[in-house]
Amino acid sequence: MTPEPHQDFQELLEPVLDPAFGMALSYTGGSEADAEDLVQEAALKAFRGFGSFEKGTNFKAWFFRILMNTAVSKFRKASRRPLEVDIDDTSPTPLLQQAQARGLDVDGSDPARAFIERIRIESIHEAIAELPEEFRQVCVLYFLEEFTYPEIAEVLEIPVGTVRSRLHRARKALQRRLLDIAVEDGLVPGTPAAGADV
Amino acid sequence: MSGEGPEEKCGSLDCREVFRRLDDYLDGTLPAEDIVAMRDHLDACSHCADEYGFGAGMVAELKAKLRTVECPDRLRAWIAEQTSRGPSGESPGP
Repeated sequence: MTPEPHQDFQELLEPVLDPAFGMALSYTGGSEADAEDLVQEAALKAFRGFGSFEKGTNFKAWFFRILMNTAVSKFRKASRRPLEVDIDDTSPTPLLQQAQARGLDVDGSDPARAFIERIRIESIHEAIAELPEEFRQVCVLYFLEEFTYPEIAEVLEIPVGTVRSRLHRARKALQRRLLDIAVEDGLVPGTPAAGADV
Repeated sequence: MSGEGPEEKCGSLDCREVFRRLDDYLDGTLPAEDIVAMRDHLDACSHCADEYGFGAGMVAELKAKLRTVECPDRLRAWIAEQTSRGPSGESPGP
């Protein structure tokens, strides 16, 4: 017996709900209530438009595109706010040196893990939400779902070279912002270490 | 690697060139010959190796932390209910 279309939809949607909710949080800056609204709206839009989904193609990419378009339209006003992250900071100082300059203890066996463990997940969502839209898009697809560059290009309908360029800039901006947050939250002293090159 | 300071040449690349390629190396998008040159430099230059290790660790830890998020059960149930009637039917708004 052939399953009903809505059964197909539910089977395809169920496995992508966790990352979809995570992606929504990165648009709402960590607000769970707004993220729930966003996923609800996107799920209904996808359900109503399921007839246009081509069976056998990438459902996750199709649904995430709907989710991101819904987010952009829902939070259009918020996305026009002045940017808090300087995406074009061209400081040549490498990340580890920046971290040392802010007083992060980098002498342990895994300083990156020690650092990220101390940052609240809400702060990470806020930092991603502060990125300009086109940079936030590539960030969430890369960090939340480990889409490859060609897959991100497919979801966003942009060239692979553009994905690469945006992702590199977004990743650096996000990492700088997290270092700032660590200082603001008192997780690191924030005072330049002796001899630090920043 | 010393940021704006003097650059050390280990193998065919200097630290500044390595720094420029770190993201591509991390994502595995460099051509094979560049991967070898990067690996040679990172084996010989502890500053760049530390920088690469920290950057790669940050990316891996961020991915791991962001992927711990779970969709709330009430949202899952709401969507299941709203999509159980067939797409041609009238679906109430959220």
